[in-house]
Amino acid sequence: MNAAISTTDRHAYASGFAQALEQDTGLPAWLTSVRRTAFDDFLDQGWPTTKQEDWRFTDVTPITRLTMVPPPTGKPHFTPDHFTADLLGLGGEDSRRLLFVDGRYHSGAAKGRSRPDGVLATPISGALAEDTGTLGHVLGHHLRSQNAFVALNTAFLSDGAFIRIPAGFTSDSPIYLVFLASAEGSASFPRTVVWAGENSQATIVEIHLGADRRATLSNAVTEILLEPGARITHHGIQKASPDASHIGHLAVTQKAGSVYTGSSLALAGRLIRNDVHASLAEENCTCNLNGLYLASDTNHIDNHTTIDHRAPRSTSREVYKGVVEDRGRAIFSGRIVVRPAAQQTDARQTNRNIVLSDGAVVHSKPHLEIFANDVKCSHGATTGRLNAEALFYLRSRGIGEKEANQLLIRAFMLEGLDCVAEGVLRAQLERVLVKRIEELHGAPA
Amino acid sequence: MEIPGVANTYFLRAALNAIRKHRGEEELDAMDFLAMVKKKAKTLGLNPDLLGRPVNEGFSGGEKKRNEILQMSVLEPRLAVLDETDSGLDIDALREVAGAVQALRAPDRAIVVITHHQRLLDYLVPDRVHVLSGGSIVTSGDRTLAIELEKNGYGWAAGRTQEQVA
Repeated sequence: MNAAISTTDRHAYASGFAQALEQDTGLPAWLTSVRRTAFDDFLDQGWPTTKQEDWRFTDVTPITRLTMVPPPTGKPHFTPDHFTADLLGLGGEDSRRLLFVDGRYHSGAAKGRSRPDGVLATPISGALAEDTGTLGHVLGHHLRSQNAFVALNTAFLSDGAFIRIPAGFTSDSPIYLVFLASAEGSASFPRTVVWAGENSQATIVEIHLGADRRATLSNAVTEILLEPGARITHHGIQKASPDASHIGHLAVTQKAGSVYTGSSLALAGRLIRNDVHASLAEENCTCNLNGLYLASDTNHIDNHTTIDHRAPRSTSREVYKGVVEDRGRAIFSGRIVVRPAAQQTDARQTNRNIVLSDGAVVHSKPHLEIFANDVKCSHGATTGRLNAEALFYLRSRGIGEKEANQLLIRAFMLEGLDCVAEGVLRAQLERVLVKRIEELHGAPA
Repeated sequence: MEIPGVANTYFLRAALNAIRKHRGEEELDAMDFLAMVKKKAKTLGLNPDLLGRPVNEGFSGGEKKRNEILQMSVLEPRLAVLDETDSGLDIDALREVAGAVQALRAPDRAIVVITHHQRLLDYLVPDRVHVLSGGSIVTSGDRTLAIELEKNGYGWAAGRTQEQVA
């Protein structure tokens, strides 16, 4: 059962909500009504509690204490730390990039909003104001779950990114979406909507960052619709500040013959929760889900995924890997559903964890729900220490203990990138990952 | 020992630089290191593709042996124990491996070679030969001892000790 929201909190949230509605001028009336319904839905549901199976290991109490007051308007002030600056610069000057600060489009950083190729990469606020009608086709239509956080995101929906890839368009140059949470004590609710036309191909990198040592909540929802034959590669990177929380909900809907390849790099944050729901709605789809996580200090990283095979002859591959240390916590819950109609499904799932210290905890819960009889499905989960023999081998060649550890952690994590990206993007993701590993384990000689 | 995900060269450079650091020497950068290791691999007859592959992953028995010798020639240890380095090597490989070890001989380096056959010692001429039997050194001599041993067998060497003891 969810925790009922107290009358005091109810008033506080309602006044925050009213304030947000007042601030967000220029939005269409239909959206305001959708938002009101969602807010009521949130109040009815209340916050999830650890008594619910899906939230057994993740206590959201710290988040509930945050006020829902939107961040102050006007240009935000932040000084990106070393790491943030590096991530902000991903993709270089020429790439298509949208920057959002505290949930709002930061107009200064966008390049190439509209290009002759017909690809639309625009802030939702702009798309709503222009009301071209295409955003409404996807927005909110493919969410399979309406948990409290999804409802909350919809209730506060005012901005985010809308990407539309025209049918037949293919591009190898990624689109970067950067969301920075910066105002102390604030909550932001970015929405990303991707609509990939028939036989189109594109790569999207969605980066969520926290400004140094700020306590923030980013509650993000991403909806991706793949029309028949579309191929979308989607990389999520999260590096929240040590005091910040990130709750992400990703809903993917795949039509016939489409290929979705998603990766998630969860690098840091006080509380990170990623829900992924991939619906393979039509036949011959391919869905590759990959996750990498590093939970150090007292970081809590929770990945909940569902891959729903609803039609025949689809393939899914899911690999989640992580390293947990200090008093970090990692949760993996991977659910694969094969519906009666989904004959000849081929689904494989793997979760591998390395635990580096006694205080670190991993909960791994793979589960298959199979209702068809002609399928190939497998799952496996392992949790262990670094290979002692490999460590000995490295140390016997003169490599110090710390560096040998670092070398093996790096190898374990980087292996996870091999099947998700190649070329320049692979190198970029590797750099981000290695940088974080070196932050935690020191740079090699 | 296979170490997935750790490239051979990456590992070797980390090891070499750890050693150089310890000795108070300057560390090698990736370019200089690669040039050096490629040259050494060539003299060993090691396929350069193996340098980029993860340590020992999918290596044949002979490739693993050559890789060990490559590590030795890069890391330049003061003491090396080569345990049956000749097993599983064909004649050409044996000559190359022996040649690489031979090149590492130096006044301040000790190399202990363990073998069951004289053949390796044709290419890698020992300064001193010890015969082990039943866990202890039963007799010692110069290179001629190994040749005699090949002719007469281990039984002869063990008998020789008993004679000496008697």
